[in-house]
Amino acid sequence: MVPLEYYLILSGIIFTIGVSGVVISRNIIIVFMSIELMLNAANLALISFARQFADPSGHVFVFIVMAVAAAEAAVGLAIIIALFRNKDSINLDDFNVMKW
Amino acid sequence: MQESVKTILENFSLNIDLVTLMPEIIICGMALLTMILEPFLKGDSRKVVMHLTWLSIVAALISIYSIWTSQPNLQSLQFADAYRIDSYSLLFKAVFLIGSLLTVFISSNFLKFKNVPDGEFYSLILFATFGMMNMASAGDLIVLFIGLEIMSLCLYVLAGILRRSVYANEASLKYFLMGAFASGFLMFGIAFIYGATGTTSIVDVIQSSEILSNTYLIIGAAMVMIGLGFKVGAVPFHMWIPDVYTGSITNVTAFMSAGPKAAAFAAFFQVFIVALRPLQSEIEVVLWILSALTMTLGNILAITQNDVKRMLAYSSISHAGYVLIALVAFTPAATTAGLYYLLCYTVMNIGAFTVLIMVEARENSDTNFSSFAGMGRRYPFLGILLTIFMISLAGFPPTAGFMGKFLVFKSAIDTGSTSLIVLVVLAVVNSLVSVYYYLRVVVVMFMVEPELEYRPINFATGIIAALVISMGGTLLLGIYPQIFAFFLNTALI
Amino acid sequence: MLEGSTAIAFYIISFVMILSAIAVVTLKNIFHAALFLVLTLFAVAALYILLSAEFLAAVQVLIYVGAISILMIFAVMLTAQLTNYNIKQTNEQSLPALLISVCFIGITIFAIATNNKLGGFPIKENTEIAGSNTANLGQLLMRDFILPFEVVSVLLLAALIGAIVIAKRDN
Repeated sequence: MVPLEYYLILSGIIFTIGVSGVVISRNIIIVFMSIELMLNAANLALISFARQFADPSGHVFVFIVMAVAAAEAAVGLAIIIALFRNKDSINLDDFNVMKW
Repeated sequence: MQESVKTILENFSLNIDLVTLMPEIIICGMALLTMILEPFLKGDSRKVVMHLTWLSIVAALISIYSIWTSQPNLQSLQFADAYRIDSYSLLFKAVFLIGSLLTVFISSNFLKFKNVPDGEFYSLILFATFGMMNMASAGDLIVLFIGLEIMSLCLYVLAGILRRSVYANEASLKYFLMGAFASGFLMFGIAFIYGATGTTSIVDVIQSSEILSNTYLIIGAAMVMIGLGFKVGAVPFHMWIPDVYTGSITNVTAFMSAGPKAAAFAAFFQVFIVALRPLQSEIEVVLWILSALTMTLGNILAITQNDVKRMLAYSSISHAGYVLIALVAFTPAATTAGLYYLLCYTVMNIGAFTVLIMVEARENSDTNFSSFAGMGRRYPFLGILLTIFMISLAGFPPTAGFMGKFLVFKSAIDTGSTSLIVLVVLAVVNSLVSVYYYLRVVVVMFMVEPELEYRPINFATGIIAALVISMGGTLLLGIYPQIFAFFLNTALI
Repeated sequence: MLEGSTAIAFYIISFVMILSAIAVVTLKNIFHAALFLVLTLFAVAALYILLSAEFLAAVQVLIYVGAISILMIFAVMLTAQLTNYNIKQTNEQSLPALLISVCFIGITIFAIATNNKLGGFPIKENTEIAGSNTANLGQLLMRDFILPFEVVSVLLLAALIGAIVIAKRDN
């Protein structure tokens, strides 16, 4: 029997790894992967709660978050490719024509 | 099995009222139609897309007005309580639509000047508006999240629509990374709010009996606060705003600073004032700090800017701080005042951006303060208009900016709480400081001689329409708030 | 017996998941990081099965592992200096950022672990939704959540248009 809290703590750990990835990484694609980790952590928490309440509406939410994540991935990678075409780099430190 | 499906359908009503959904249907339908029409139009007939876009926005505004007059105290829950249409959300939608309308007017010539593909542009503006409308009417956190994502995805693309410009690329990238990061926080928060209450509905106040775990609710509220804080650009989640606003093409910056900001506030109002009332005292403290930081830091940083566009970006941060006062006050009057302020800000800010676009849309021009030199002498009328917009942004009578600030501050003082009075005093001091950087533009415009020969400004029809609407709005909202009495009688709670 | 094996599976999966998630954010080679992301996403799918969300587990594999990760790997191949193993992965703020993150996780985990109201409430092993999950989900999508279901299609369309606008070449 695995208590709900364990799932939530796992989700919290994955979320934190995602957040630290976004903050410390200087590679755009890694930043983007870390954001996916954050969304997955949120999904895991949602499904754990849905299990707890025996209520499938949490599942609907996860289903929709996945669609949103796919849409975000498409737009994000398009932006990265447009950038790469102009600048030939995916290192975040190279993107400071403005101050940040 | 078929039997059961039949009974489900019979016992279940989505309660859809197409009349009240008309604004959304018009906007979404036109966004689709634009994409279908666009490939068939060549040359001059491409203007059709632009005209259809603004006509559809006007049609949506008219339909909001007719819903408003025919059903004054509308309270309708549709799609199994996932969508709420009431007078408050209708007014929010009107604010978004006015922002989009002005954006379309200022865009048509500027896009040609900057050589941007226009069909997709209008379609994305309409999709973003549709997303904002979903946010304002969301009765469920799922709808709120999707609306926010539709709006954000369109904005990421609009920010980078000037594909060959490195600045636009960078703006788009930063906006995307920060926006997706914020969405991660928002989702994690929503998951915990769901865990704390067992529901994602935000139609009613969450009753304390429903709260299964206060800890989860607080974690959830904190995460949602971070997520939405990024979207409204509250300090310390503001760092993307200056770069994204400066790097994007100017008409998109005008759009971003108006509607999407108001939409993020709509989400703020719904989640924190309606749904999370049980946490009121904690939320007030956090919002107080956010509000004080946001207006002060936004103002201080705005003083040091040499680029008008970047200055307006910082000014938009500090204005978000003023609106947050309405959230701290937590009263019905304050929600109304916050909405009124957002309307005023939309009108006057896009007005200021319109003049900025006129200055930028000349040969070899940019958005620095020096580009404004001599404009006041060459075009005194335009100079006076810009002066009025700047006075309004600084918050002086007889303009919209003053009336908006006055209502927000009054609602805060009426609560009688000392901490709010301190916040209002801080806001007044900040407004006085802001005079410096707003009037700097005016000084440069009238007093400084241009270094080179003055290059003429091109007056296009769309730009003039936008100027007339935003100037009319700025003056009317400031001088005759009585005619907006219907507005002032509408409260969220 | 069955309950014990669920627990063992949970521990193994979460161990793999945490390690591969750490690998995603620390590895120097982006391509390897993307592969570890795939592993993490698989582990999440496995946990969905433990939480009796079989349909979502399948969707997770299809969308996340099948589509999103592949898109990422595409992006890596199209853009990154794949052969360049010496890209510095972290920036200057990494230490303070890491500290803040650790504090953050500490607070969250502490809050979750000391949350008494639900108090170690175990997940019920035989809840009603187990088994008929997919049918329930379908009914909900077509009934209570028809609006999000429809609006998400607008989102996908807008994203499609946006991605084309941004990524297409000038002619």
